[in-house]
Amino acid sequence: MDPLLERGLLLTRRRFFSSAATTFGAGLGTIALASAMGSDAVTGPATGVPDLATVRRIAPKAKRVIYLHMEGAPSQLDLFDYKPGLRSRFDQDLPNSVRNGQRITGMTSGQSRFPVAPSMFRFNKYANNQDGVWLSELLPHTASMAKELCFIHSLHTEAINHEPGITFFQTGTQQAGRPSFGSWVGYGLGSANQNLPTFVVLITQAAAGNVQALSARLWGSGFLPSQHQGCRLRGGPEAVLYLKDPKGVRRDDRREMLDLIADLNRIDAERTLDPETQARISQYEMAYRMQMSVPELTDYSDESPETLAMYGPEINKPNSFAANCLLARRLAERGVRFIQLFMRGWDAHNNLPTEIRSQCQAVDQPQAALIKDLKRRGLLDDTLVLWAGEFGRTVYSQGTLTETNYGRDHHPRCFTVFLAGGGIKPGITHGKTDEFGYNIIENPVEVHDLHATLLRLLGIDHTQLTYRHQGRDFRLTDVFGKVIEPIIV
Amino acid sequence: MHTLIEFFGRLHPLLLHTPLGILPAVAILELLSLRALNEPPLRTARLLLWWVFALSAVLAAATGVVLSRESEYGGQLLDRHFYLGIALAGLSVAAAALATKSSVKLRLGLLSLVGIVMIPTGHLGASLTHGEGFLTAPFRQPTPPAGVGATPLGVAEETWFSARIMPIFENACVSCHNESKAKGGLMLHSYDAMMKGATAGAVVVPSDPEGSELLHRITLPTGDEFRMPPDGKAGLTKEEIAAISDWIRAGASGIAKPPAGGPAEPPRPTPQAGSVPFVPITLSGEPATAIRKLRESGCVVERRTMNDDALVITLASTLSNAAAVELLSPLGPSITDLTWPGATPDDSLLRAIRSMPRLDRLDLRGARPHDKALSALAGHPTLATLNLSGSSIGEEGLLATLESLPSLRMVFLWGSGVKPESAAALVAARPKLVVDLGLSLGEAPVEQEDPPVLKNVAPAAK
Repeated sequence: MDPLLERGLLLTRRRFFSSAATTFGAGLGTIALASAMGSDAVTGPATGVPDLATVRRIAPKAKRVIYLHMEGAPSQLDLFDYKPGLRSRFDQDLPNSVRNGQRITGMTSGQSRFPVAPSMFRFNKYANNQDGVWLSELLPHTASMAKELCFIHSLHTEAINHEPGITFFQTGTQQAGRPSFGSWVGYGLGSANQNLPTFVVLITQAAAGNVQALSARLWGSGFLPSQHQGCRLRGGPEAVLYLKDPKGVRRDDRREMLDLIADLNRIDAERTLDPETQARISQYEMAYRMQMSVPELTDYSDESPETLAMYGPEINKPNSFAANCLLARRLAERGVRFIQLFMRGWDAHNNLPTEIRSQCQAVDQPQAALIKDLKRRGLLDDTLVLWAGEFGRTVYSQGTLTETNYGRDHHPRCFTVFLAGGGIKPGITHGKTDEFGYNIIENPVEVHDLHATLLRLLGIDHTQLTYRHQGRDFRLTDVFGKVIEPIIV
Repeated sequence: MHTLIEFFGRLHPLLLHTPLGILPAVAILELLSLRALNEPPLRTARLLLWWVFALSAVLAAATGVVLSRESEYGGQLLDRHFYLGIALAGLSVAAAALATKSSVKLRLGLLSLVGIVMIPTGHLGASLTHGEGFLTAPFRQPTPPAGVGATPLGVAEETWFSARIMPIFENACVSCHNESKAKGGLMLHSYDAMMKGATAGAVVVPSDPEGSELLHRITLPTGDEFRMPPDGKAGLTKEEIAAISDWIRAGASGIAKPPAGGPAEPPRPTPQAGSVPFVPITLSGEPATAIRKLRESGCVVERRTMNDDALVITLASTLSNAAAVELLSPLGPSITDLTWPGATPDDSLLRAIRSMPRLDRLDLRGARPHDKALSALAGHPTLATLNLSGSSIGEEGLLATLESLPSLRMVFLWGSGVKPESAAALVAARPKLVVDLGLSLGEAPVEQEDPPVLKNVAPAAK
């Protein structure tokens, strides 16, 4: 059979079902799609402007998310999960009753013993809106904002290795190919800025330590229409490669060229009914608008010296965590819905004390400055900040243990993340781990619960944000997810 | 003479059937000739019929052209039928001329071609008379309840017009008065189209039912040639006429809510258990235009949730105060959240904001209003969050305004001229108000550990 004809028949069948769904169910997916595609008569198709229809069922507390992902998994025991009792158990074997046969990675499964490695770092107590919180000396700037932060000590994940772990956080499942969190948000809520993508990704290279692969599928749109995929911005003079017109090409020449390409693409879209062609048309238009909006976005000349200084000494280094935090604030101000920063290099299997010092130095002042800057501008009120790695690290040492050096392996059973702003209760902690920091003893939180909670604060019921693909409705939280009510205002 | 021509035109519905009837006869004779049944009498009959067919097609087209000039039809459907009809007549004459000479295969080809052109021509003509979708009506799903999908922005909230008037039009008028048919130049498929009126002028005069041509036409006695719907179609009921009349008398608004009482509201789709109903919102007329214009100027207009009509708007920094006032005023009652960063709002805009009855959150970060401008907001009943961070505003006039806002819970004043002691005084007067000057950023620890000592001294745990 002619492949085009075959495709045509399939599309017709698919279109029949989707239109039938509209007639009978007026399903939420359809509304969301209409919203995301901007397919209303007032705005005309493919302008990228959302319909007035929305998937929000609850008045939103947050309009946007800034997600600081700590790739490699930082050690909760050296930063947040205060276990002073372990200091007198230095180099003791981890009791079998604690691990209880739970799986460990191939990197330490061959070790003859699992010696307890208490954190060598000082902890200090900061006042918050409960009875205070103990935080590591490694993050003094971040800790000084304790009254704004909500620490969850009881997160756990299914994955034990980086790739599935990051994929799980990004897409709600360990297998590759599902839409990322940011894509779901863009699909559900549409754009709040016609001139910038709804989902932007910024990456900072490791200050020290191992790095894991970060592939573009981690911010991909999976089966959602492709205009919802994350757009990675680079540091330096060219935030988006090849975005500038080449020398000698005038802006109206470019416009004319894009109009002609769009005409050809429309013919193709009518012939093949391929939604990807529609996405292509809208992406060309987005790129054209970004030719104006991106240089303005990345030009920091309107920032006061005081603001720049607040983000720390690396603010002028392209792609540094400081520069990306400032960029995140500027993106938030411009209404970008989902801003994701990756900080690489937390995978400290060996030499953890040295590596974590460098890593913390790179992130501490910038991330605290981001929260301060958002707060004083009134933006923290409706911007949700999430700081998380993909899992935690073990209490036992990987490799040699001394008073000043140790390593830690992957630990999915418990780890700490923090949130701020956007309807999160400020200055609290949630969940508890046992005295070894190995198992959760109070209020366990799944990654799905975190997703459900963030969606709730954006006004979306996570069970209602669905997309039909290959014959069934998919959601970010699959069949899981409970909103963590105690941490919501 | 003119009467004769008009009479001639009105023969179109009769004459058009002649070629339609003859074509199958020609086809039968041509097929017979394939079977070598080609005796001279048959051949003569065949040629004769070809020419009768061509002539009748020309006559049908000619009467059609006259009728189209005379009658009140208009729109895309008519245009297509018109040109296809002329093309069909031309094609028929050409085919007849060729039929004398050419081979049987070519003649059969010509015959199919004529037939192929005839089908759409006839279908479009029939659609003009019987209404679009007449043929396929038995296969179609029942249409969704009126009001849903009727207005351009989709699923719309009930208005007086969408709930009580549009269903009447949809039932009785829209089949002839729509975008593609537009008899008399009048379209009744939407509020905007209706208000544009017919070729002869407006059909609805707000607040004046007696002066509205639409009401006049639907109330004429049966048999009157100007009565609508025309003869042979069911007229409107007394209740329907009264509903239209009442609505026009009340101002013929596209956005007014339906009055209490009156006919029951049309049924809505039943939400699934546990789910929140999708409340459609009104977007016709002025509000829809305002939203479109706002978006065209780079502003963002969103709904807050699907359960109500609250709007969240972010204005583009390039918008002028005058444009902002004009575009926001039709939407004022729905706006709950308004953001305009880095702008210079003037008194007229701030007065417009003051009159937004549901405004909950106003974000003017980085704004450059003059010092006393904010006093235009004084006494706003619902404003709860006000962001003036990074704005140049001084405290003169501002403090009194802030104190006068009964619902105010949070105000951001970083970088403004407000002094800490004034802020403290404000909080003393309004204890539940959070005044954020952006000054206290970060706190020192309340308790510090000694440097940790790592030892193996505790008894080993089991």
